[in-house]
Amino acid sequence: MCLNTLIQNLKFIIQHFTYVVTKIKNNMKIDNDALQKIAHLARLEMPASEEQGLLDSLNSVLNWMEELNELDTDGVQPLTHMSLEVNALREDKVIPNISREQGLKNAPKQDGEYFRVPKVME
Amino acid sequence: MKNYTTLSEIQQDLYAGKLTCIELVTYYLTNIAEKNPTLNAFLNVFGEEALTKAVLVDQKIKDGTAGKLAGLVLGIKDLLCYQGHVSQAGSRILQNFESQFSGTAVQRCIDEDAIIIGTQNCDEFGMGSTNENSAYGICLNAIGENRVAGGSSGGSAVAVQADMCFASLGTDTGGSVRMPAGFCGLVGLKPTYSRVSRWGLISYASSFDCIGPITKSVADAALLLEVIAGKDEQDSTVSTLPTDAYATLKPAKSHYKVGYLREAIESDGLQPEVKAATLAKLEALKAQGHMVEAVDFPLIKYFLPTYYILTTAEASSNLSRFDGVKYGHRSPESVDLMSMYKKSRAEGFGKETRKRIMLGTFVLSASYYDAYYTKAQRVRRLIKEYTDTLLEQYDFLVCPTTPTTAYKVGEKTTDPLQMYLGDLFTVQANVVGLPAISVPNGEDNDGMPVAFQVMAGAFKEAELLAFANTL
Repeated sequence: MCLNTLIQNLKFIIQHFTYVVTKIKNNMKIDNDALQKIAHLARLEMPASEEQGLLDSLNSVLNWMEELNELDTDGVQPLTHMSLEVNALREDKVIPNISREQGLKNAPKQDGEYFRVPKVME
Repeated sequence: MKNYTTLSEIQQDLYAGKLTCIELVTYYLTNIAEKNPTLNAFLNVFGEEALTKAVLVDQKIKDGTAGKLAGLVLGIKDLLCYQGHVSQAGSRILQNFESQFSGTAVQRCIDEDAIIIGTQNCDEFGMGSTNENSAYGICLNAIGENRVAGGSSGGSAVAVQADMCFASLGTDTGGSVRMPAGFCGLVGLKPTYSRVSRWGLISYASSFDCIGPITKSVADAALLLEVIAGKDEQDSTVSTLPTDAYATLKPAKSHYKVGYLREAIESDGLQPEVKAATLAKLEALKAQGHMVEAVDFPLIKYFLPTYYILTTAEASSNLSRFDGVKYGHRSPESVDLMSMYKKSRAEGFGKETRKRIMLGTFVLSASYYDAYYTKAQRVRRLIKEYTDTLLEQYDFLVCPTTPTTAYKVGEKTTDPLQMYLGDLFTVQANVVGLPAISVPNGEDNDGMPVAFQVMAGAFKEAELLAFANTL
């Protein structure tokens, strides 16, 4: 192995190590890659200028949220519903709802019958 | 115009022929024209329509056919749907969205002859505590210089405070009715979760959201609750339990068991005047013959993290409907379907909303779901069970509505955690789904209103209102 490659590798390892240490030190839950992945899942475009600010803000909120880990919740059932109603059923019958005209009224683009979106398939 | 504090005073004059609805609407429209350019409480004003409705209600009063809310000039938060009118949720993504139907609470008020005068400013989708997160500009408190209205129903509170309407319907997800009511010296009621149909309330966090009134008196809060509460075919989560005749305020008992949260009163973050006013109120209650005791609530520090994990999760899911397809903003830069979604949402949502969507998406993502979301649901149960136990021992739990009076504009916007702390005392009611009311409790050295909060057991609004009416 030539010396240059070795130095390169060492540099990379040191950089990576420093990165990991900083990440642990700052207790970062989300890094740039994760931020982009979440933004994609949430279908939000993320301008590069906003990345760092958002990273800091999200990480500080997430660290604060982790205070919940101080509580022992073994055996506690998650509370998933706040309403006491069970099986609120109604008769299954067709009733006039909103008209097509009304339904299309607020659409950014429509042709009188359908909502229009950019071409999906080539 | 006389300084009315209850609708029944207004109705007395209306029925005695000393006042007309036309005069009332004209009075409020004049105030709106004069004050709204500075305060920015109203986003849309339905002037002509309100005057037309006033003529009709005046006739109904003469004919003896008028409804319970005749003479009530009502504003509604921009988060509530009103058929044929613009509802924007304080967001650019819904700019000029015209609702195709009216929400149940709004419709029930209209059916009882309330006159809806306009839609009111709020934090985008209800996400905020100061009304500084509105796409349509900040709404200012009418008292003090450059003070926030509180949020998220800031416009609703300021409109009532500054006599631009008589009452308002707001929404409360973590304190959004009680907090601005407190900051503006008014009464704000958050009913039990599921007491009022959420149909036509633009969703933020569906297991927390509640519609509630902001009024000048407890009597009117009770009256509005009576009108809007109850079962509804359009909301499968709404309670089918019978409602009480809330407007006929029960006589309060002479001896209640009242618990106050020790952690809240002893908190370092409490403004000295708020602490003093709260302690004075507790002494007054004792003097009236009530039993007043400190209760410990060791889980208090977990209220806010639990609230933010669950509400951001629910928000990220609810707000996925804004995709630029069926309604709302679509980016002109869209080239394909994916860029249409991403650009439309990035341009349409404000900074705080985007942040909460990101947080919610993260806590719901496969690798973190159990660690955050399920964990918070478990803690939610702990907080609920503990609160329920306390409310078996006490009739009411009380504390200040907010740790401080209204902030200066911009004071809390830099640090999200500082901003979130303002909700510390109000979120509990939403986390556990219980009713709570905020009533005025004096003012601080700068003349800013201080507020006192009372929370009661599930569906005990009648008792809560009876007690609040004596405060």
